[in-house]
Amino acid sequence: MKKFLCLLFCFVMLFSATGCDNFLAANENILQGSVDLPEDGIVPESTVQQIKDENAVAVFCGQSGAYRYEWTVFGSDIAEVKALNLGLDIDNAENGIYIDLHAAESFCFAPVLSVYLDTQWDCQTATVYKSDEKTPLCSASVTGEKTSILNFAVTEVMPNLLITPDELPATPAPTASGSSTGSDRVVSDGKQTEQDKYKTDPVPAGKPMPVEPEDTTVDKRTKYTCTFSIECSTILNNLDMLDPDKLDAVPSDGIILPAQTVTFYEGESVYDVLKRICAEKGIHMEASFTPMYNSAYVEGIHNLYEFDCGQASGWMYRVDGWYPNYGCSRYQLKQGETVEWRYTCAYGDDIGGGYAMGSD
Amino acid sequence: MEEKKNSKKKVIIIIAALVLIALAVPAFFLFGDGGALSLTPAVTIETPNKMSRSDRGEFTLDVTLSDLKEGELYPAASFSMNFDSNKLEFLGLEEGNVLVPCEKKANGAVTELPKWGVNVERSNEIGQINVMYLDLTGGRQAFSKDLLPDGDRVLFRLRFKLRGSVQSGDIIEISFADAVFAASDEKDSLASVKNTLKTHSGRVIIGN
Repeated sequence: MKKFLCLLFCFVMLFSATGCDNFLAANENILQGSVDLPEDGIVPESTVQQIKDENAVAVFCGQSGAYRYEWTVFGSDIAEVKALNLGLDIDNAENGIYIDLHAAESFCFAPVLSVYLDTQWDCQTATVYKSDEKTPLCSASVTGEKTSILNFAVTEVMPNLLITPDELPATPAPTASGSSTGSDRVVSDGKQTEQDKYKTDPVPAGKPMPVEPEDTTVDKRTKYTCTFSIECSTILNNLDMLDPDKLDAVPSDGIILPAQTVTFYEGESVYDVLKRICAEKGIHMEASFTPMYNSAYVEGIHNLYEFDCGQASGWMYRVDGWYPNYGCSRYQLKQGETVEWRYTCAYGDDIGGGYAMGSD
Repeated sequence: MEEKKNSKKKVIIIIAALVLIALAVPAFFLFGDGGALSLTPAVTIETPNKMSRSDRGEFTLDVTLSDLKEGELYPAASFSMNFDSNKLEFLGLEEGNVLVPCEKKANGAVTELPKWGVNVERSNEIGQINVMYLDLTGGRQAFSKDLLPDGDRVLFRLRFKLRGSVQSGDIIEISFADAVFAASDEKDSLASVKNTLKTHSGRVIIGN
C-alpha cells in the first residue's frame, strides 16, 4: 500500500509540474504566431525573459465578453524583465468602450493593444482618454472592413480607459417644422398614367417622385444620416453563370459593405452618396451618365459589372424596401432612409425587385 | 482499527482527486480552445519587428498555418486581407514552405509550391489583397495535413514597402477579411466565417 501511495504521489507531482509549466510548454512557438493568454492574464517572468533574449515579437490573445483583444510585445522594447499582467476587461460606453487594465504597475515599455470590436466605427482614428474622461492620453488607429479594430500603444497603465471614435455620424439638424425628415418631398398620387420625359413609368402612389439633379442644390451645412449597404449575395446562388475572372471579387458572404450609418447633405441623391462612400471606403465603382434617363447608370461596383453573372445581371438599388423605377441620381435622400445596393442576376426577380424593371 | 481503515480510505480519495485535477489541468491547456493541441486550425499574419519611418526597403510578413484536418483534402484556398494602401505598398507574394502534390517531375519531385494567384495592382487600388489557389486536377494537387512541414508552416509571404506617408508611432493593421480552405464537400471546408478556421491579424508598427 505504501509503495502504491508513493507511486501515486510521484505521478501527481509529475503532472502538477507539467500543469504549472503548461503555459510555456503549450507555447513553445511563443516567438512566432499568436498564443492565448493564461486565464489570469499574467505572462510569467521566464516568458518575458525569453522574448527579450530572442529579441522576438510575441502576440498574446485574450477575450473579454464579446471583445477579442491582442497584445503585441516586442523583445527589443522590454527594459525590465518581470511578469506582465496583460488581463483586462472591456465594457461598452455610451460613445465607445471602456478598457479596465488589470495591471497594477507600469509595464516599463509600451506594448501594443489591439481590440476587435463587434461593430464598425465610421472613423479612422479614436481617442484614448484617462478615466476622468476628459484628459486625452493618446490616439488609436481604427481599421477593419466589416468590424473595426482599434490599435494603440499602452504607454501608461491605469484602470478604466475610455476610447471614443473621433468622428461620429453627424446628428441630424433639426428642421423648421421639427420633423427629422428634412425638406418636404413630393410623393406620387398614383394618378400619373404616362411615362415622363426621361422614360420613367408612373411612380406608385405614396412613393417619392424623382427629383432632377439639375434642379437640386446641395446644402453642405445641413447634415443627415442614412443606412447604406452594398451586397451581391445572389451571385453565390448563381456561381455557374459568373465570369470566372470575377470570382475573387465576390466576398464569401456576398457583403461588400455591411449596413452602416453614413452622413449625407441636404439635397444629395442616392448616387451622390454611393460615389462618396465608395471613394471613402476604397471600393471600386464605375458609372456613366445616361442623358436619356437623366441619371448616372452604375455599371460596376467592387469590380462586379453588369452581365458578369449572366445577361440579366447588374446593380439595382432599394430604398426603405422599395426599388425605385428611376435612376439613382434622381432619388433625393431623406433623413433615416435605408439604401441597399444589390446585385441581381435576373432583372431584379431574384432580389424582389422585378417590378422596377417592368416584369410582373 | 475501523478508524484507521477509514482514514486510509480518506487519504486514497484525496490522492485520487489530486490525480484527477493534475491530469485535467494540463489536458485543458493542451486541448482547450487555443491550446497547443487545439483542434481549430489558424492562419496568422506574423507581425514583423518594429520598423522606422525611414526604412525604405522591402519587407515581408509571413502568413502561417497552424494545422489542417487529418485525412482531408483542400483543393482550393483563398484569403482576403485588408491593409492601409495609403501607408503600405503591396509588392507581391513570396514563396512559403507549404507544398502541394504535383505530377512527377524529371528530377523526381512529387511536390511543388502552390501557384497562388494575386493581382498586385488591384490590391493597392482597393486596399485588399485577395490571394487564391485553385487545384484544377480534381483534388490531385490539393493541400493536406500530410504535406505540412514540421516547424514553421508558411503559406506565402506578403511583400510590402512603406509609403512616404507613414509617421512615427503608426500601427498599420493587416487583417483577414476572409479565409477559406475549401474541401470538396462544403461541410468539411475550413472557413473564418464559420469559425472553423481562426485568423490572426498582423501589424506593422513604426517605432518612435
